This record gives sequence, C-alpha cells and structure tokens, in this order.
Amino acid sequence: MATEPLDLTPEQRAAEDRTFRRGAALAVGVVLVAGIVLGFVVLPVVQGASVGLDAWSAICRAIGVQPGTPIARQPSSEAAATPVSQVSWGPATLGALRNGNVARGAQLSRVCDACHGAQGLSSDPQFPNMSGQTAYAIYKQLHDFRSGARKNYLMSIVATYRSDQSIADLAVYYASRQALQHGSIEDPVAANLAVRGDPARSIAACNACHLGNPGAPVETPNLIGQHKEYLLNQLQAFAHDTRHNDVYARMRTISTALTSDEMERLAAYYAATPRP
Amino acid sequence: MASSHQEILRTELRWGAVMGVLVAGILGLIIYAALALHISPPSNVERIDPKTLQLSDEFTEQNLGTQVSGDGRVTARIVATQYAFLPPCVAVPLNRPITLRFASPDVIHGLLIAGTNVNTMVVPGYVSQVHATFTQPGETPMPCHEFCGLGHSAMLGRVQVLPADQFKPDAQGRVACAKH
Ligand code: HEC
Ligand code: HEC
Ligand SMILES: [Cu+2]
Repeated sequence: MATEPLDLTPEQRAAEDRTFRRGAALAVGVVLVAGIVLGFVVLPVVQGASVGLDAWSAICRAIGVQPGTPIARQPSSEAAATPVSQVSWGPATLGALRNGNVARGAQLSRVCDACHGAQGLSSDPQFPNMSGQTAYAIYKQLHDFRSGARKNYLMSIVATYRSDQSIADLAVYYASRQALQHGSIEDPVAANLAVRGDPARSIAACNACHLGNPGAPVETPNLIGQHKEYLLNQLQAFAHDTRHNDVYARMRTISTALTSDEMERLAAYYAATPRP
Repeated sequence: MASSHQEILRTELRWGAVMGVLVAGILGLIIYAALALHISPPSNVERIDPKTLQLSDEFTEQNLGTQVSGDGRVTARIVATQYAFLPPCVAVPLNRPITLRFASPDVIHGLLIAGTNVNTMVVPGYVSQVHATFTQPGETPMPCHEFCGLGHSAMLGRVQVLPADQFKPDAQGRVACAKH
C-alpha cells in the first residue's frame, strides 16, 4: 500500500495550525458565552417569571448572591436544640486530642485501673477494655458521661469534674496502648452482617463504620477484642433506648433492626475476631 | 490504511461535528426540560454548619420529621447521614403541598422519590429544600443516590403518603409514619 508523506512544509503547517487555533478558540468562546447567557440569564429569567420573580433578582439568585427560595416563604422553626451529645468535631476538640499528653493520661488512669484493669484490659466483662480503643471514641464517651448524655451509675461519677484536657489525655493514653490478641470464630450469620450488612432491612455493614474507615463517623468505637458481654449490653441498650448518645440515632436505628439472636452472634464475633 | 493528510483532517472534522451535534442535542434537551417541563435543580441557597448540625436548633434530633405549623403549612426535616435517613420513614400528606428540608452532617448524599419531583443532592454545608405535592397514596422507597461510603447500598429511607384521615398531627403538630 502506498503511503503518502504526511510531512508538510513549515509554512503549510503553520497556516493550518492557525486555522485550527482560531476555530477552537471560536468554538470555546461561543460555548462559554452561550453557557453564561443560558445559565445566568435565559433560564433564570424565564423560570423566575413563572413564580413571579423579577428578572434582576432571578439573575442574582442564579449567580448565587441572593439566598432563599422565591416560591414559598422559608419555613421557620421554633425548635430549640436538644442534642443527644454535646460533642462536635470542630478544631477545639480535635486540637485538644492532638495536644493530648500520654504521660499525664497514664497518671490519671490509675483511678480507672480498679475497673478497667491495670493494662486497660479488664477481667470483669461488664467493664469494657480500654486499650486499643480509638482516642475519639474514648473522648466522646467520657464527655457524654460527664454531660449526662450517657448514663451509668459508676462512670457518670468517674467522669464528673474532669476537664476537657484530662479527658483528652486519658483518651490518647489508652489509644496508645496495645489491645489483646484474640482468637477467631466461624459464624457465617455474624460475618455476613459485619461485612455485607442487610440492605433489605436497611442495615449497613458494621465494618463500613467499625473497622476504622476514614469515611465513617469520627467517634465510631473499635469493637474488635472487646468483651462479648459488654458489646451485647450496649446493643441491647441502644435497641431499648436506654443508651441514646449516638448522634443521629445511628446505632439505635441499626440495633432495632437486629434480632436478639443476631446481637448475640455479632457480640461473640467481634469479641473473638483478631485485629486486622 | 493510507490516508492523505487532507483525508485525516476531513475525518477529524466530521467526527468533531458529530460530537458537537450530540452535545448540542443533550443541552437542548436539558434546556427544553427546564423551560417547558420546569425540571431543574432545587434553587434554595441556604448555609448550615455540618460540624455542629446535631447541635443546631432546626436539625437537632428531636426536631426531625414531619411537622404541621400553626398556619397549616407542612414541613419535613430530614437528616441524611452515613448510612441512614433520620427519620427512616417520612410521613407526608396526600394532595397537600409540603416543604422537604434535608441536611447532612458528614458527606454528600442524595435522594430520590420515584414518581415525584423530589430528586436532590444533600451537600454538607447547605440545606437542600424541595417543594412537593404527593398524589399517590401508599409507601415508596427513598434511596440515597450519591455514593456516600461503604454502607451506601443499605441507605434506604421510606416515605408514607397518608390520606387526610390518616395524616393526624399530635399536640406539637408532629406526624409520624403509621406502624405496620
Ligand atoms: C467503678 C468502676 C469504674 C471506674 C473506676 C471507671 N470506669 Fe469506666 N466504665 C465502667 C463501666 C461499668 C462502664 C460501662 C458502662 C455501661 O455499661 O454503659 C464503663 C465505661 C467506660 C467507657 C465507655 C467505653 C465504651 O467503649 O463505650 C469509657 C471511655 C470509660 N469507662 C473510661 C474510664 C476512665 C478513663 C476511667 C478513669 C478515669 C474509668 N472509666 C473509670 C466502670 C468504671
Ligand atoms: C453508620 C456507622 C455505623 C454502623 C453501620 C454500625 N455502627 Fe455501631 N456504632 C457507630 C457509632 C458512631 C457508635 C458510637 C455511638 C456513640 O457515639 O455513642 C457505635 C457504637 C456501637 C457499639 C457500642 C460500642 C462501645 O464501645 O460502646 C456497638 C456494640 C456497636 N456499635 C455495634 C455495631 C454492630 C454490631 C453493627 C452492625 C450490625 C454496627 N455497630 C454498625 C456507628 C456504626
Ligand atoms: Cu448516602
């Protein structure tokens, strides 16, 4: 097959490039101007007219400098905030945790040893293990015990009168410690809920949040290696609304959808699962 | 396949024109839908701090759900969060205008109620507001349609469209879904 040479003289090439450049610039310009005219003028003015909006405010709203909605008055809400937890993850909280003092936390933790164990690993399964828990989770729970958002006759007393900084120090101290190594159990029902969830019942996979995923809620605690009895107690407490400090009912909604058999299996599954 | 320089140029231009026509056609459809069918993104512009959403007055947990105000207007406030809507089931009246207000404390969510004009993204930092009138009684799903994380596939809310005799506000004007 004969091949024609594609080479052009430099002059021919330059001339062709010029035509192309002009054409492309013209096309981009036309699209840009048409987009601005359509998006900021034609569509808002025509649509605004149908809800009785004058042309100028329609254009201002399209550009984004005039807030609100033209169709109806903004509904007002007389509600006052009654948050289920006072904790928010703003710079103040995150800063306190970043500046948390592990050595001071270790000192403060002497009081906790009686119940949570000298290594942060307790022998009585009613007392949760602390070591290996995330600093965010410990901070949030201590804050909630202090504010009364979460209640327990022992912990509520322990948490009163603690400063934000002490809470942060305790949190970073326990988070810096190693958790126990655990064995594993085979339970397809629990493993399925943990890994896949059950979309038909609107149950998201537990691991979508509880495996330390960066996308999950900041305060999500680690469940792996926790006492089975403690995990089961908490699931039941969420389901019966005796614990309700989970923001936007994330755990209350999920635990209500679980059967008591599933709660039992999931508690055993996480208690025995080795850390990844 | 031998092609002269001119031929290559012509082919490029021809395909360029085809793409141009396709893009123009799709844009034309969007413009037609916006002007003739009034289908366009929700136009409310309102900011709200996502970090402190649960501490806010309006989107505090207690205030979520459907409420009939003194002047008879119906508003539903819904939080889209990983990985559920709160309330999980929204009660709405049949054949009566309602304002739906959504907010997110974490990531971008979206939602859609099939057969209605309700279809919006819920972007953290903004209140998404939609006005709707539901004309089909019964229960419809309200799935999240923006990938929001590993639990996204389980993020499925419900909407119960209740006829007037079942849409009964309590003393605070609140209406919840009927239990099955
Ligand atoms: C008198 C016993 C006791 C002492 C002392 C004690 N705790 Fe606790 N703690 C408990 C019990 C019981 C629970 C479980 C509460 C429940 O079941 O709701 C708990 C729960 C917690 C939790 C929640 C854990 C989770 O995963 O939800 C944290 C955090 C905690 N304690 C931290 C501390 C710290 C820090 C100290 C020391 C300053 C401390 N506790 C001292 C008994 C104690
Ligand atoms: C949407 C994310 C999410 C999903 C999905 C989720 N959780 Fe949670 N879970 C949380 C958060 C957040 C908390 C902490 C609540 C709080 O702030 O007090 C929590 C707390 C818990 C606790 C209490 C732990 C403690 O130390 O106090 C248990 C037990 C638990 N979840 C079990 C489960 C199980 C089992 C599943 C799956 C069926 C599951 N979770 C699915 C977010 C989630
Ligand atoms: Cu979502």
